[in-house]
Amino acid sequence: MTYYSPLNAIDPSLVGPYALDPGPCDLHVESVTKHYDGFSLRDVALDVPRGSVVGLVGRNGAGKTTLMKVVLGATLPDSGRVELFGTYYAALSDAERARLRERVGFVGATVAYPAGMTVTDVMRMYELAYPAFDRARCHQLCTDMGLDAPQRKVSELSRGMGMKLQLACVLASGAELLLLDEPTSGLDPIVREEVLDILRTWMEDEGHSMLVSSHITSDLEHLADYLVMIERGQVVLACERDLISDLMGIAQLRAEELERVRAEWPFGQVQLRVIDRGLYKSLLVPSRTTFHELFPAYACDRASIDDVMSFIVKGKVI
Amino acid sequence: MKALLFSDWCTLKGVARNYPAPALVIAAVATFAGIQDVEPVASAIAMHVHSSIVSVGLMMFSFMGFFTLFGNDEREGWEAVRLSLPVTRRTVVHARYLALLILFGMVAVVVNLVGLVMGAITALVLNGQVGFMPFSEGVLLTGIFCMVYLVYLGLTTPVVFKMGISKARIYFSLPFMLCLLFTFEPVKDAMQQLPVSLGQISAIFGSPLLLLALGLAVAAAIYGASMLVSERIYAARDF
Repeated sequence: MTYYSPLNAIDPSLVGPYALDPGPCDLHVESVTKHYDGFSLRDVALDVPRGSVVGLVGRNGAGKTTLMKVVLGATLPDSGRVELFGTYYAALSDAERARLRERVGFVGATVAYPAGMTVTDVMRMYELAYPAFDRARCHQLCTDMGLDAPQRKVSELSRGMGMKLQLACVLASGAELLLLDEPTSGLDPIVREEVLDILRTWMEDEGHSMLVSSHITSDLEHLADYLVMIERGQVVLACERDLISDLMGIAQLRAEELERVRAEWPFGQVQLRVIDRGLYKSLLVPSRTTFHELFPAYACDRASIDDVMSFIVKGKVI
Repeated sequence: MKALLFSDWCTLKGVARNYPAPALVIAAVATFAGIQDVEPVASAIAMHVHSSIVSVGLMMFSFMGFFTLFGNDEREGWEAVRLSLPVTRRTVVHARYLALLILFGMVAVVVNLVGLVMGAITALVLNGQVGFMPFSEGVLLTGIFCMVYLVYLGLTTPVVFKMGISKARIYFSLPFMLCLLFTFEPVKDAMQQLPVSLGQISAIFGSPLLLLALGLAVAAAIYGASMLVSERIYAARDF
């Protein structure tokens, strides 16, 4: 998979050579499809290149958690394949699967450990599960994060403390690929920033990579290298994060201006996505530079991830 | 496997604190219920108390452990998160079957010890002499419960692995209801019409312990087959 296609239809020549170097991928998801009553994950593909953070964004119920579960093996896809560290997971023997999974750590949105466990018990469980688990490092991480209650039960931990415990255990497990499902949802801003700092520090090792799902896109602004946007079970955008802020824009246009832009639309097959704001209409622009060259009189602001998400979800294609 | 067994151990350890109070009540009820009908001999009193405690204790605590473990799996989504650890689905099934066996073993040891002590004390208080239930009787009783436990779990565990304990709840009572059938007069009458009785079968084997050993072997085979079925079922389950 190449990460160059905002809105999945843009001409790569318009946005420059943003395709990835063909380096190794720690996670490769290919054409994954899963049908449920009332919801389908359709033909989903994404890559997590080694040393990078991929943000999986989308609304609640868009399919992020289902995709995470497919990657973890908790949900079995109807079709498609998942490769971990270049190995087709489903083709492995049980022992090989377990060994491969020792290189993967998961942090969920909720603290799901058995309620009877204490903080120390959780560490012990990880120690038994991961041969490379570093107990001293886990203790150090817990101390650094202010989690100084080894005998406290998991059920008594606050949401933030539970998240820190999960992170400490997973980061000390020796995993090279982290899968994080909504790691910051429900956290106060201080704890959220602490969690993001921990993740950024962990990513300083080039051998580490991360897939982070979140509907809080601001968290991904300074963390993710690539973004994959999922909507109604389908990938609708896959690009470098900088592509959005560096290239894409939002033009605020009156009706007649929009008509002119539409008539002279310079982006080939890329669809015009518009949100009606009453007095004016907002238009998603794939390349601000190109737009400015052609329409210097029209304002076109830098786009954020939230903007792009809004246009994809709520924007009207004209 | 070790990590999963450890998490099950923590779960059971966590709820075990709730057990002593009901256990004391049960022990007291079991000790005094029907004691007036028992022959006033130390060994008979001890046997009554011991067997009552073992029966109630094994029935209650081993099955409670089963429901606790599977109930805990569904709390907060642990059953899905568990699969994020470096374990395979097969390991999850094996670990749970092993945990249930270990649980029964531990409960059996504890209730037999409690039964032994309570039986001796009760005999001493009521009869002035210390009495004990014969060892072979204790083994027989525990063995019968072990057989029931293995067969019951053998039948119900695959259903739980297929749909989770909440949805499978309706199926748990079926084996118990089947047992209740034997309390109905027509069924009892029909049983008496059978050409052979349990006593006759036992006589054929020469010893009830031998019959028990055979029964346990069959129950163990059912339990083992159940594990294989659960493996297949769990391999296809979605969370």
